[in-house]
Amino acid sequence: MALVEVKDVSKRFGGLTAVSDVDLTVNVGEVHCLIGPNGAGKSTLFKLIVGLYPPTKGSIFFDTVDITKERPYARVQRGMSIKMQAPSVFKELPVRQNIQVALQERFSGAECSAEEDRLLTLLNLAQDAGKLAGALSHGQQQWLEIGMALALQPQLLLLDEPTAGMSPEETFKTGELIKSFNAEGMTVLVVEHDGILVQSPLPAAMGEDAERRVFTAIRPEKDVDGLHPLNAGYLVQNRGALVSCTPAGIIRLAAQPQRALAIPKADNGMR
Amino acid sequence: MFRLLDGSQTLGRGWRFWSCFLVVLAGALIYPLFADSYDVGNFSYFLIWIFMALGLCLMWGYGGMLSFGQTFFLGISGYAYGVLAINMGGGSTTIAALVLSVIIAMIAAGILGYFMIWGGINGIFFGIVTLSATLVLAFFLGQTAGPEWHIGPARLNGFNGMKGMDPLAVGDFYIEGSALYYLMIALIVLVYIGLRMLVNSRIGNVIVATRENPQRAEMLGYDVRKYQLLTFVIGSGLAGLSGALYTSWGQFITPSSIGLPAAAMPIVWVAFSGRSDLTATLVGSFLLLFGFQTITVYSQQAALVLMGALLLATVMLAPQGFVLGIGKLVVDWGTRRRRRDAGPALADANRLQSDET
Repeated sequence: MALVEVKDVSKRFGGLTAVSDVDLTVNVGEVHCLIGPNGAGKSTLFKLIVGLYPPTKGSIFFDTVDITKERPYARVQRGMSIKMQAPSVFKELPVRQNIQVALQERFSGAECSAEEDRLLTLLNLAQDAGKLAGALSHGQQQWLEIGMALALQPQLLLLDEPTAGMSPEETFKTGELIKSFNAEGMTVLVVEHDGILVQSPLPAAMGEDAERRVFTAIRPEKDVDGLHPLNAGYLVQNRGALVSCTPAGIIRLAAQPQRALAIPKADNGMR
Repeated sequence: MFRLLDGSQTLGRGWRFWSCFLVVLAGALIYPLFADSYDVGNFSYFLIWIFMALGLCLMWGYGGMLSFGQTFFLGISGYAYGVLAINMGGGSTTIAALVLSVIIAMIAAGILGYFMIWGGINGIFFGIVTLSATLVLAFFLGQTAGPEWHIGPARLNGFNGMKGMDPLAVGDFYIEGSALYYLMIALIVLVYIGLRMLVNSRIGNVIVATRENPQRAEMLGYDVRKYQLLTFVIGSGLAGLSGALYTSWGQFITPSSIGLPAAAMPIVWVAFSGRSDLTATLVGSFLLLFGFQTITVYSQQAALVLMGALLLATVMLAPQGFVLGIGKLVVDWGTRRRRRDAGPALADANRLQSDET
């Protein structure tokens, strides 16, 4: 069953077409990875899904409801939650209060404190609960934001480059975290820069169940002719500025994701 | 309930703070027994402005919205009180006039705020738009000298200002002197406690979160516009309360209470005091008003220059605010001393821990 359906969506900023004619379907229970080089429009597509930008064209469905015109907070209330690319936390507030703001609508009193403690421990931030969020390291801020996104217990978790600036161990832990939440039924849509993805253990860590792990490649217009080796065998759609793989063209990386993704830099004609 | 009063959004917590609070309150309550009536009247006058300062503290310090429009709403409510009190007659109806004029100011704040916040105005432009509205109102009222400018029997009177309204009264009893003073104290305690509970509540949590990062707050499922509007309406309504009380206190109001020099005052008070805390604003504004009044007796110009100098010094030396800074020093000193009492070993352990993190 499709949780998110992006239908024929374009976004133009003045003369720049950031996203053009994109179709994307994310099914319930998937860990869906959106990959592509810088400037491919991954983050823009994310912001379109969550409602930070209105699309120039096309429509977006969540749980079969047309949400194209809904404001971001309404989409979040429907069951989405996002972690942005740059860490965005409440810097002048203590870490615990950051979490509290995310939790307070669903928990109150002692229950809320217990849930705060649980999340802080899970995120390895229990010792820093009293610190201002702005005083945390970059990686910790990323974690805090992931924690805030998780605190909403969303149906769909959107993660924009969740492991940027993280150490390999932190990246691995993030993968484990995503895996555990996915196992509980949360659908996850992740954006990763493909270069980073190659090096990070994230895809390997995300579920042994290959059927639930889906990759969609997304790339800019000018390279349409020189097919990305990653896409070569899988690309079915090639319309306009940006190419995305429709469900038929989903790149399934079953046995050895690391190898499938290890593209020699020299062959990477996309930059 | 107590959790809301003593929550983390407000400095000054625990039994030490609340015992100080009670001592100050008791002092304020017995003050009229010792002071002469002139001083008591003066104190009532200082207290009038505290509401406006607390309102700005809520909007600016907690909500991150620098409103230059406190005197705009003060003016609306002040003039509304005059018009209503004159039209409805004196006596107990003045209480109704007070309540209504505050409501009118809040409705005005709702309308102005709706267009600003839903129109996506924020940051510095929020200040510019509110300042413009303030100046427009001041200039508009300044040109209402002619006899054609009247609402019922109430003449607006241009620069000379409106006069002839009754002060607050219950039946035949005018609320003046000590009675007014006690009314002010009661209102301030009420507003202060109410605001403390507001900022420590869930709503307060969202208000400060919105100040820090409106986009993130929205991404947690909050319609931040509604919270901003609520903050703006409450903060501006408090300016309205100051306005109605001011008109009632002096039985006159002029456009100069609205114009630029007056509009800058609340910002100086709150910036000097420490905008991020209600208690600091309360104490600091009172001290400044007291000092200002004392100097004004000798020279009004000197007092204004001093205000300007204070704002400059605040921005350069203590951007968080002087009163807040001193308050934090006292708290730090207290904590350190307690730690020392608890034994050097523990203090070392604490230091080590803080080094590690």
